[in-house]
Amino acid sequence: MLKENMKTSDFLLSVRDLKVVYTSAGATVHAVNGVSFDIRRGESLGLVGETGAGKTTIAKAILGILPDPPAKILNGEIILEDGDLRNLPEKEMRKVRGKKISMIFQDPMTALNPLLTVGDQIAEVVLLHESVSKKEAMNKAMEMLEMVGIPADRYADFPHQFSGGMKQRVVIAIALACNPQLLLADEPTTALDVTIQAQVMDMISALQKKLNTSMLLITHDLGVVAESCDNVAVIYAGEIVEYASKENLFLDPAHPYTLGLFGSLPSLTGDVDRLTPIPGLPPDPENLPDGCSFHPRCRYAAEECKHGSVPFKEVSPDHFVHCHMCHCEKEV
Amino acid sequence: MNLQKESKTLSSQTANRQSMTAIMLRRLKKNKTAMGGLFILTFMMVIAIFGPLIAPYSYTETDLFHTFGLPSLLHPFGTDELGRDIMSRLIIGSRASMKIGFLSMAGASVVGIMLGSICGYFGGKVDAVIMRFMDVFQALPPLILAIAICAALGPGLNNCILAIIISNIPGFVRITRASVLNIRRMEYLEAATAINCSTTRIIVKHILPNALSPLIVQITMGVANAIISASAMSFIGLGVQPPNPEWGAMLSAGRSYIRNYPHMVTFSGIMIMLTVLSLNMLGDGLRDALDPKLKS
Amino acid sequence: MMIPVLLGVAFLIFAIMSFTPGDPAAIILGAQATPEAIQELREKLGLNQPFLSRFFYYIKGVVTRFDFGTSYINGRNVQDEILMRFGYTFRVALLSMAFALGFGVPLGITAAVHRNTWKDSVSMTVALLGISMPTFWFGQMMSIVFALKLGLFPASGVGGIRFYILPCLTVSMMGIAAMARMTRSSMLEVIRSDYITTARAKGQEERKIIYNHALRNALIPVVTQAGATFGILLGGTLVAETVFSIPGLGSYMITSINSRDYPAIQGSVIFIAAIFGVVMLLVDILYTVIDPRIRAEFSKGGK
Repeated sequence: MLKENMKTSDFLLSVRDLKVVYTSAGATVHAVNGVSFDIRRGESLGLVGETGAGKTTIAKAILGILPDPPAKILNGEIILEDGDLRNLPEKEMRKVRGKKISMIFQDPMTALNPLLTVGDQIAEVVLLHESVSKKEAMNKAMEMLEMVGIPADRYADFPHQFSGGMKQRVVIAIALACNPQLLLADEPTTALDVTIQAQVMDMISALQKKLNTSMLLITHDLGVVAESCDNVAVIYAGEIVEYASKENLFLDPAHPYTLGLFGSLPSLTGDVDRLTPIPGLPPDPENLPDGCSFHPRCRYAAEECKHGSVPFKEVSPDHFVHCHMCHCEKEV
Repeated sequence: MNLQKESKTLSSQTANRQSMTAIMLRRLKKNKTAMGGLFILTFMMVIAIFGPLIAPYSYTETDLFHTFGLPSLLHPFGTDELGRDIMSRLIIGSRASMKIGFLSMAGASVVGIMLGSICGYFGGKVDAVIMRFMDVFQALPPLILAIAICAALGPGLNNCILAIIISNIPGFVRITRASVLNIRRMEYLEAATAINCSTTRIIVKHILPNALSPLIVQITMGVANAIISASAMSFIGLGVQPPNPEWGAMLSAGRSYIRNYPHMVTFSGIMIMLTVLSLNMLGDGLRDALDPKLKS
Repeated sequence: MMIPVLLGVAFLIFAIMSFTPGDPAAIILGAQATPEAIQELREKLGLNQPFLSRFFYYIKGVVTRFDFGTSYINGRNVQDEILMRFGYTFRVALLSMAFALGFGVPLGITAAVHRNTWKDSVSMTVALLGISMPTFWFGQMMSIVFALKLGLFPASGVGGIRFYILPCLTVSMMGIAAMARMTRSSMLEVIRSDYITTARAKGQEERKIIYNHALRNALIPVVTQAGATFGILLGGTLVAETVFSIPGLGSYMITSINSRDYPAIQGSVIFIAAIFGVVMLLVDILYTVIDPRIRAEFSKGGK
């Protein structure tokens, strides 16, 4: 992940030390506190964490659509193919959005404009980025509809005529219409029924493989991660607390928070009387604890965890954890 | 795990969630426009309440030697065509406007809330019939309906109030009905799982905060519109009758003399505008403070 | 849908007018009339009939012959007066509505798009003042300044376009203010929507987002407000006619009220209700044009 000597051109996207705050009415919310990660071409990274951990903020920061005010990117580099997106003027950034990086949002019910046909909404993104005629854009839109499993003759239908799952498929069609290099998927199946969830995730994975699109998949569901991601970053209070390949994370979770997440899952194999949730509540982002943000809820917390900065340790090759107490090979 | 520490963290976090009303009052206080409006409104109400004590002259005291007097030290706003002190008449006139404004909204809201709750709660035929009636009432522009009622019943302050009440009832019915339907839809699911006897309590505890917000705003703006309507009706000759002073009536009386003595119409209009403006400022502030979606 | 409501309105007005004190026949004949003459007139006018049959007869007259009855005061046909006068009223009201839409909506959009800047504050302050000013006072102030002092426009009467300027500006003030406020709040609401974020994520330019995505969705509550605003403007026009001495429906109604000419009042009010009803019908039709969801319900349910 963050070996400093690795060339950033090995990666499609590199985020370095991203810090985002929200200021309103005098209060400052520290949403993202120094997040760094990389994604290779064709790779998918899962971003796992509780609601409010800062995951959506990271995605919106990458795409440059954070509302400013109240959000402000204090610090960080967002490097796409050797160029820092933060240095781009708005006009250039618009060319990136929808074309090189696109996003799928959480709630399909409100993500589409109710007054425009679904076909036109897909065609819109094509017309924005490809110099094609209106007819060609419409054809591409129909092609995309078919690709996501919606008959092309529904081009002229309106969003309210579709179910939630199908609306989400339209959103995916819009996101993939211009063949982006990176797809940001913000909890794409959370608002859907469980059976539809599986269908939609399968479709996203299949399309991703077919078009060789990298993906940043934001979710709070470890099951989805297990199915669809190559690597996983666990986020807590705006920081990455553990980063590993999917296999390493599931086989050898190191951070106490990750252990807590796995511990609170019901098991298909064993019989458990009670689930073991993580005690306490997530910290108030206006008032984060000193030292390690997790220490008030951590059973292993020691004196050194309460103050000062917390080191990144390498548990095993390419498996990093942000913790004092983990027994690890070496510090990074 | 230290249970004491855990419970302390939890309780400190719940203590931070103050009551909704406290949060809303705080938001309202921060809104300078709204506070300004409240200040002016309070000033107007004080004038209205203590009117007879403050007014330097009686509102009927005529002085035929000093008619059409321009603003001076003796008569800060001048005198009218019968030599009466305009300032005193303005002060006493505020009582009529305030009375009409608040009484009419009180009446309209009580009847409207009752009817709206019945519609929303019972639904079905009752709802359909009542809403048809409301459609008929709303098919007329409100001022015209009020004028028609007042024309039929005869001029005077009380008929004016009645007319404004009737023309404002449909608005309150609609708002209440919408709120009740909204909550019924949500609470239906909760009620299905809740214990029977607490269903009513849930409804009462949850209907009130949600339905109250739009109603409070409607009432505040309603008082403003009632005052304008009342002065319009008095302007036409339907509302408050002479010699009782009323701002609209004073404007009407001054019309004939507008060419030479514009001061007769200027000040009464300013009084109306100031009062209505303060109510609108306050109403806007209330709407912003009570809006659950708005986070400053 | 409109017909039963209009009938209801007519019934309502008829009922309200039946509350009026005094005997119409006695009023027509004057103080010198003998009791026999009064009774004779009552028979002739059908005033001794029960309420419902009087109503039925009246409605039949209105619908089939456009006969609103005869004025108590001057014996002329009410409908003649109405037809002669409503043109003026209508012109003022329509022109004011055009101003309200033409100035109010763009003002609201500007305020919403430039939220919290000076453009927003100024627009909204003007709008706040606009809805707080009584129309009849504003009219008089405008008269004093523009007609009396500056002599730019005529203060009263009708004729060419010049005569309409002051009345329309006066009446439209409240309309412009109401439309600006409603447009602003509707736009602000819509701009927060998820589909606007989707449009941004597509890389769409801000201007197209405002006009193609946000505005069309924001228009729906604005159209509702436009209907209500027309009602306010109608009321304002009635009063403005007194201020500017325009011989329209409003001044007719007001003189009728002051002279207790009940058929005239009744006829004018029902006529105004009909006009207003047509406008509201247009508003409903406009909804189906703008919003495909309502179009679907309309064709499903059928009216």
